[in-house]
Amino acid sequence: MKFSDLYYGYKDLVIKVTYNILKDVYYAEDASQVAWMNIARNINKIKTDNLKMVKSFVICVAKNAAYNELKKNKKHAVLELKEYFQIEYEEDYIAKREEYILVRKAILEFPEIVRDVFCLHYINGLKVREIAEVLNRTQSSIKSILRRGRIRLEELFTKE
Amino acid sequence: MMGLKNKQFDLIVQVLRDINSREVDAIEKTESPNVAFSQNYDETIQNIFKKERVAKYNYKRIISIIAAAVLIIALTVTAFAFRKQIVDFIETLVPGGVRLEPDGGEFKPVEGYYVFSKLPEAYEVTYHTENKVQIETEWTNGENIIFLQQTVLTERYQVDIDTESEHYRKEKVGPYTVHYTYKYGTHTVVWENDRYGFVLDCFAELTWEEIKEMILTMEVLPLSEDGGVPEGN
Repeated sequence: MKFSDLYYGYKDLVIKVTYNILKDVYYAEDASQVAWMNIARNINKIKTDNLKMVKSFVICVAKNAAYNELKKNKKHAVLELKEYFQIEYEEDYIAKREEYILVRKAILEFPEIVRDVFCLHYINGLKVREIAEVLNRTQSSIKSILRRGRIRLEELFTKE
Repeated sequence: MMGLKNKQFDLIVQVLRDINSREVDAIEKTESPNVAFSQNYDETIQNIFKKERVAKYNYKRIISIIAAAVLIIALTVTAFAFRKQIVDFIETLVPGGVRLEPDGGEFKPVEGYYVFSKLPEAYEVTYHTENKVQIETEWTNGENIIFLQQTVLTERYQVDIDTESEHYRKEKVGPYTVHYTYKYGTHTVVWENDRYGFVLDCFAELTWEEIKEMILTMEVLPLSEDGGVPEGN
């Protein structure tokens, strides 16, 4: 995956993500710049040409940069619990399956950082060390996030 | 915990993919603001493109140059020149920070686990695991997390600390010399006593003074029998 292809392909997407979180053009510019520098540093961690997966990687990095910018500017005390993108679900055939609905509800209740770490790990196939580097967190924090998420999901299946 | 079965795991991945895909759709539907990046930033991006092109066509030459440079450095400077001893750690300069490694010693399994007897209000133990080498304890207040990792000092134990952070500090807290850094919303503190290395990660809005107070209240407890969440914490 070439950085220049990513940059030209998703420049607008990154701006949209950061702007939707920060609601300020200047802060969004800053966060987008940080996100792109981070993507440039971690380009080798993109292990696929699947556009959906590449997009999700870019979005995770962009969201993370925007949240950090928010924290830096102390606009909100607890940021990662907030939902910035409202995802609407149609009652399609798959959503009618009870187990699917339960898991979806549980995952949607996760803080965004937990969902992002799960996506990077289980969808993008990144290792704990790689996620820590991409999201600028410690490996122990990533391990902890993954473990907490898994425990919650295990509890969900146990309750059934 | 019994662990997730394959079928359950597949369902989770399916849900994650679905959520992810819908999130991408939701983002793409939003309006894009007009932004103008600075000239400096545009130049940096162009430089990255340039490096990418160079890397593509001349990587063999670059590798040869780097290999030659490494060989020259290795021949002229010994490894010890990059290291200096601090207390019981060997402090090694690594890109972006300092790596702390214990200076040898025999391995003795964990004998007890350390906890903070005083924590900020509403925090309680939500996770605790023990083995012969490492103990991890996690406290949460529902939103924020305090995570303490206690590891037996062995020759293989090492912790990297980012000393480039403007928040980095090294100071005496009670009997310990601690290294503190704050980056992207995470407070990280690293220290050791004569038996264990400690890494404290706080994903919480805490001040350095509050963290120091916590460290000062550390006490050692006997190991729990099942390695689970200890009662009464």
